Amino acid sequence: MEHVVPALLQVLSPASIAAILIGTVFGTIVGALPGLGSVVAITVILPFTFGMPIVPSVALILAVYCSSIYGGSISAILINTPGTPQAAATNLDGYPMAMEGKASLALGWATAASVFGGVFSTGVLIVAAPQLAAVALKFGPVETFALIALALTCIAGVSRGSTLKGFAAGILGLFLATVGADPMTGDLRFEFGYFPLTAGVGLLPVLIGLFAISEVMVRVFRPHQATPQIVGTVGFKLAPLREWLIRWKSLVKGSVIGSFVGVLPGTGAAVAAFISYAEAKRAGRFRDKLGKGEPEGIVAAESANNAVSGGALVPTLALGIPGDAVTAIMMSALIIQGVQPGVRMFAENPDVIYAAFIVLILANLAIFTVGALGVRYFLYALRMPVPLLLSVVIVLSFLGAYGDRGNEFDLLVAFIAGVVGFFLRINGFPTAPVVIGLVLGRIFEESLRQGLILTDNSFQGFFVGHPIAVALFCVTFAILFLPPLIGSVRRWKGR
Amino acid sequence: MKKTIPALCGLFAALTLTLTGTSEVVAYPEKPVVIVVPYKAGGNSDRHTRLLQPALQDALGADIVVKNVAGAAGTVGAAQVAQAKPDGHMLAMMPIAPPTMQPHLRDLPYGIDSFEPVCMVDNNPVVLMVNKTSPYKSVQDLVSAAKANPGSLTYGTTGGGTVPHLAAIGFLEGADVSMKHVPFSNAADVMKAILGEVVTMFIGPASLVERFDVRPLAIFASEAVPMFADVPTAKSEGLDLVFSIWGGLFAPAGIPEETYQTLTAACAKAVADPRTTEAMAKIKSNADPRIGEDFKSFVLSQYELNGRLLGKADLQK
Repeated sequence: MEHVVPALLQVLSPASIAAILIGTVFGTIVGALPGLGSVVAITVILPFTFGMPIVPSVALILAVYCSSIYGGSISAILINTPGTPQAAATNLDGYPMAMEGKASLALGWATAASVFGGVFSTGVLIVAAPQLAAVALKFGPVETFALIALALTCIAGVSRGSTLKGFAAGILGLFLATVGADPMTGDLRFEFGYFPLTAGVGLLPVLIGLFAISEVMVRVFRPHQATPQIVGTVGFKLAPLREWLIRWKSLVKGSVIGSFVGVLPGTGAAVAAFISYAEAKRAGRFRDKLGKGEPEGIVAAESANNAVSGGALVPTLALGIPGDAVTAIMMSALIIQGVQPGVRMFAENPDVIYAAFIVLILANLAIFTVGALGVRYFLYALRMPVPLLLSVVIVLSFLGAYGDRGNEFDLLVAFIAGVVGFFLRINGFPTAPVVIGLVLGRIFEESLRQGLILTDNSFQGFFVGHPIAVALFCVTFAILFLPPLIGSVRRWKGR
Repeated sequence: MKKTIPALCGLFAALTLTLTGTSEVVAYPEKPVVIVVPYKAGGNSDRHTRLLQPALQDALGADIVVKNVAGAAGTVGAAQVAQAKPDGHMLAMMPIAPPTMQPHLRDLPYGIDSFEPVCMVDNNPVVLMVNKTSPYKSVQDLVSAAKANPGSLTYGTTGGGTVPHLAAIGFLEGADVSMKHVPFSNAADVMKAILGEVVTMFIGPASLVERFDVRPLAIFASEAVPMFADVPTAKSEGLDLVFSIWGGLFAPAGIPEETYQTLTAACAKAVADPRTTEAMAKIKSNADPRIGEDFKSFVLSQYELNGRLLGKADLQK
């Protein structure tokens, strides 16, 4: 604890506070623009940190990181376009709420749940970072495979109406993840001799196409379909406390899931949001309404994806292994500053670590302020004439699809994903499972194949000496098979 | 009409300017120079490009824009530069694999002769490393354990046909032992597997040793490297193996001689600049400047060597 006071003094300097505020405003805006996302936001500000002292530069990067994850939910709610992949799960209930004219309330739910998740995970970090880092190392390929299998069950959760159609869409996503170079051997798969396909199908262009571009097409196709209703003066509105209290379980569960998934390298906020959403769909108080504009869905997704920001710092700082692309960039910024993240950092630079924790808390409070004061300006987007709004969405979408990897081919991918998304949607196929499959597909395959190498190609080997994996497999089976089983038992009893 | 005439005059003037501009030999550089990094921001190539940027900008007298074009093990970005107009305004910062290894592994829209090597920046020998708590304190320990229980030890790599993979194949062959190969998609994942004792060893970039506090057993360089003076060379352990991961600046083939000379001179100045050398020392990267023809012959010899090694490992296309 003796490092907390000096760290606090450094964080409370005018330069650090300014960095947090500027970073939060900037991150929220970039996160809200479809397709730009956290990585772009951090890459843009990275050069500015080179000339800054270490604590303000860490403050700037962390503030941009947290707020860009939050910003993604704004466009997910308002224009059915998750600004970042992390916000794809927020879409599922956020957009229906906006359609009902409850956009301000939905934004209130998203903001407060984000802040709660962020602060919660920072608390966990402060108390248990070294221990959590040790747990992360226990997650070998077999454990990772079990975790991803669990995450995939949320395909069933988001496939309302027709589970079969949802599975088909999920398999499409998993298939798309196999296109390109084989992650293990480098052999090419499904590239049909066409060079641009060797890089695989990018997640961001597909996401943008499936959600944003197809949305525009659906709107043009059915011009009289409801558009978000604007009721009176809209702004930022928090639901009354009792509304929060009856959904507390999903809030806390989301925060725990997010903090934990964040600790595991190579998973990330999108995975956490989907696992938390699946859990809310399984055990939430309002599970039957989930997907139709129920705040519990927003709460589950947003608390989880923002809690990842704290969790992801554990392996980054304590092991030197970045949890996702954003922390990877942050790590290079630290290295350039002369601080070496890794096993020795807790001993050598404890002040930087504690300063990072304090910055995280302040950044989350800044999100709340920026959200409460600034979100109304985003709502002006909804008052734009519909044709203008749709054109802006198209332009932003293609910009975002190109900006991710600087690859012209991604523009084509986004367009095709848009057309495919359009046909999926008008035929009643959910599009979220495609994204879930694509997000999880690569790590699912990689961990399975690595696990099989280690166990000499024996599936039984996955259950021997891997208690964590076995526990995760049990939860997965319970989620998949308990509800139909209980249902048939009830029917049998009712006879 | 009043407004049309000046507008037409302006257009005419602009046209004349563009026309005269293209008909003469223009001074290089005439606009910002784009350096393509064929990997995502934050990686090793990206880091070296950005630390070279300030000094190269001054030496060249033009702004430098770093553009990350990621995908397919660096070949997408490499292809983009190979197909770019060879006027020196689009360059690539590439490590060993995209120019000298990938063309042997699969069909690409470019080959080794699509590039004109400009200058090399860094060259880091790979190091054989194990977990600090593992029982293996020397190469001999590791080899005798592998001989006692064939197939029980494992090694991680950053994928099939990469430098760590080739180095491991060379090591296993030289020591006459076998281990299971577990490929990962990047060095951070391999290091996590080393720390979590999922795999036994990794032969990877030397800079990882300090960052992850692992135990180095041998460095694959022909003589001791000052930065890693206490690590024995593979040669002193009885295995004459040299593997390193280098990176440098490439221009598209067909670049005018004059422009090439300007570029190599600027790069020579930039790699020797104290800003660059200090930044490289900070990230524990070994500077190994090779300029122009020197780098060109090095790249060609690496291309041939890697082709032979990949062929021997049965990985060549």
